Amino acid sequence: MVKLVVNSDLCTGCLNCQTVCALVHGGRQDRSASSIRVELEIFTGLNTITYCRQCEDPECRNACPVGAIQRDESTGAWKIDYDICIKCGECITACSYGAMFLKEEIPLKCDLCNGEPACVEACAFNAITIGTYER
Amino acid sequence: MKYGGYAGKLLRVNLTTGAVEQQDTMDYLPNWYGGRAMAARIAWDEIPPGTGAFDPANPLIILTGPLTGTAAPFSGRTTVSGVSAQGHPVEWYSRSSFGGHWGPELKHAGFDGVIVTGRAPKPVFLRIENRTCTVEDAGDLWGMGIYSSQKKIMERYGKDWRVFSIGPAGENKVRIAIAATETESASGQGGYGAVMGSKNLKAIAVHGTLPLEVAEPERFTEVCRLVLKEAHGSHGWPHTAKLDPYKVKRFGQRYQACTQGCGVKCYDARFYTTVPAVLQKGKTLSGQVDCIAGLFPGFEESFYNWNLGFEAGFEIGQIANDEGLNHWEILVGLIPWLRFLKNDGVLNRIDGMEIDLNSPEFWAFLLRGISRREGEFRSALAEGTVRASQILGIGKERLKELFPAWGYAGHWDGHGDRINYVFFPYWIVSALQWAMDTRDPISSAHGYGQNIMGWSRICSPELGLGWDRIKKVSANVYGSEICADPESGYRGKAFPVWWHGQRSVMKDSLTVGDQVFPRIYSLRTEDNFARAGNMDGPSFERHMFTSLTGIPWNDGDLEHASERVIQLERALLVRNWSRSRTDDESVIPYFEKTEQQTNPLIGKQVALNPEKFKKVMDEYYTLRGWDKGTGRPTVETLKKFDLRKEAEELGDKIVEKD
Repeated sequence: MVKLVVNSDLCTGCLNCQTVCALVHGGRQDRSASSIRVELEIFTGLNTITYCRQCEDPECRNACPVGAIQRDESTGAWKIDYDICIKCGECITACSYGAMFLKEEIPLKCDLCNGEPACVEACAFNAITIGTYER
Repeated sequence: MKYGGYAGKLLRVNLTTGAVEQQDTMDYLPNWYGGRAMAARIAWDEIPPGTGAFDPANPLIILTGPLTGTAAPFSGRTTVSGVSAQGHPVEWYSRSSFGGHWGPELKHAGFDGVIVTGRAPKPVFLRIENRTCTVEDAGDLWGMGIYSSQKKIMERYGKDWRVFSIGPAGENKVRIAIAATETESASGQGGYGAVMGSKNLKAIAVHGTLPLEVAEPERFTEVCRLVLKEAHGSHGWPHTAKLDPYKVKRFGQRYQACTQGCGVKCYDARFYTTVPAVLQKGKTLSGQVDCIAGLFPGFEESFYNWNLGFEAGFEIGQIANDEGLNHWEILVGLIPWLRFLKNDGVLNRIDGMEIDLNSPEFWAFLLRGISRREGEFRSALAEGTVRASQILGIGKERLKELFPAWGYAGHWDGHGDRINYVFFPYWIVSALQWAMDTRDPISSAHGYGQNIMGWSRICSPELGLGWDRIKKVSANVYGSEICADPESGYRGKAFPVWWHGQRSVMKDSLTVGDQVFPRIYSLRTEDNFARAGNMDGPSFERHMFTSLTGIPWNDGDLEHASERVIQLERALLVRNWSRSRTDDESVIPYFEKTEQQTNPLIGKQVALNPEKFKKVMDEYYTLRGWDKGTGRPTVETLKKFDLRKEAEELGDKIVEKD
């Protein structure tokens, strides 16, 4: 099982994680298609990365009225089954980390790119790395 | 939009009438494919002869490229072009560029560029968001520094807005005024801040949420991934940088990308979160220090051995940014010139204050006085050091040691710029690049001189390559080992100038960081020639460009389009300013002084031999298809680049063939 390990202190604001996430998931450079977001603090330099923790007991899954958020047993990623999702947005409101987003009325969530997150490879500063764990 | 990567529209703003119009970017595609390339086309079409930098008719041309704001590594830059205020002996067409996140934001707001003409009756700024643009009153922003101006607009509209602004220097039409975004991303050279000021344009604020299409998403993703992985250390060199543990602890030093998309630990780009102010006592300052700004504190045992100390040096650098002044001019030109004059006994005080480079008070007095045009001396310096020397009638000889030509201080040239290490014969290439330009030719010089020196064992003792290997690798791009041979003298020096000329256009048009591309040398391949996947290093830009845009060009097509830009820029200089070989040769006296460094294989310092250099100039003109006598493109050459109408317009200013 894997998850993102993020240290915002190391973020340089290059936004490579965000642009590559959008590209991989939406096939274009659409910021709203990215499931990892960097909030730039251009005058203090202390940027913040908002990302999905793939929680053990996720608020998004618990809030979903139709059980559309399910665990991918090979990677550990909680993924949205869009055949089931009713676009109610409860998951977005529920996430304490603000790590789920709405794109054209469709909820977006980090799916860990099948275990090889593109954002990790795009981050040259180790602000985003990958951690493994046993379940 | 037919092609990927582009936002699809250009904004046309006439500040005299207040008219805001939108033009299809397609009007210029694919030939004038972005940034500097598109700017050259616009300049030829729209800058009539006789236009000066501060004429309302002078278009301020601010353009991104197709790669800007995408996942292409090192691609966040924006180019600025138009008749330059810093240009000397005349204000002529030139260019500049800046990083940060402004260009990407503009593209997500639906625009590939903004072209501003006219002069607003009172101070204004542009508010651009998702395909709309309004001209807003900037009465309350006028007089503010670049930081305050950005903060004020961001407070009003939101933290995720990006603002490109001028400071008091730009407002007062100081010829070394920058326009900038964030804390250290400036369109530094060219005096385009003054051009903005002359239009009563304080700032351009942008915000956008629109998507950009990608022609071949899978291939583009893979190409970007490979290019980023191949990138080595800072400046495309073999080694990466390290943070300074003392400065990390004491001043919160950290890496910060100077341009969106940057993916290497850079020698030059540092952010400081907590620096105690020296002049503004009690305050804690934060901000970025890139490139030459690291020189503000002074360097012991160097030519730049003043001693402000880190804190005061940092503060002065931030003041210069906020006032809107050009760091390179100050640190490599103006300050060394003042120190020469003081040491020569020519000058001891400026507008009543003693020249003391160890005193932060003196620096603040000097810089604030320049940006606000206070006092006779500092008002003269507001015209740039070269013009100031003429106005004040002092320091003409010392000027020749620091300023090669065109009103710009030395830069990777082996003479006036003592920061960057480049010795004979490599600076012969720099000299020729200087000769052919209208500013310091730095995006070309980084590609050649900086690249070779950085990969040599002299600058990179542990990871660098031996001379034989450098010669072999470079033959892949220059066609001959002589072009990078440390013992080649004047032989093979024209070709790299020709080749890097196109590459420079490519970088400023796509846009990608000029410190990193083109990728030539590598530690990741057996023969040390940069490669990734099935791509050779020098074709990285083309692969990113084609997979993003869908424009089906091969390497030769992109190089040809880029050379066309050089032909059109030269034609413009000929048409509007009668540029000729005589102008090009005006760089020679500067390089006739003995070089600063010594090539260990030669064992002594060398100066330029004008006769040998003129032969290298001949070779260059021949490669370009320019007449050797006049240094101007021939009719035949312009036709080869589909510039037939332009050739006709030049009439008897050019000859049929060389």
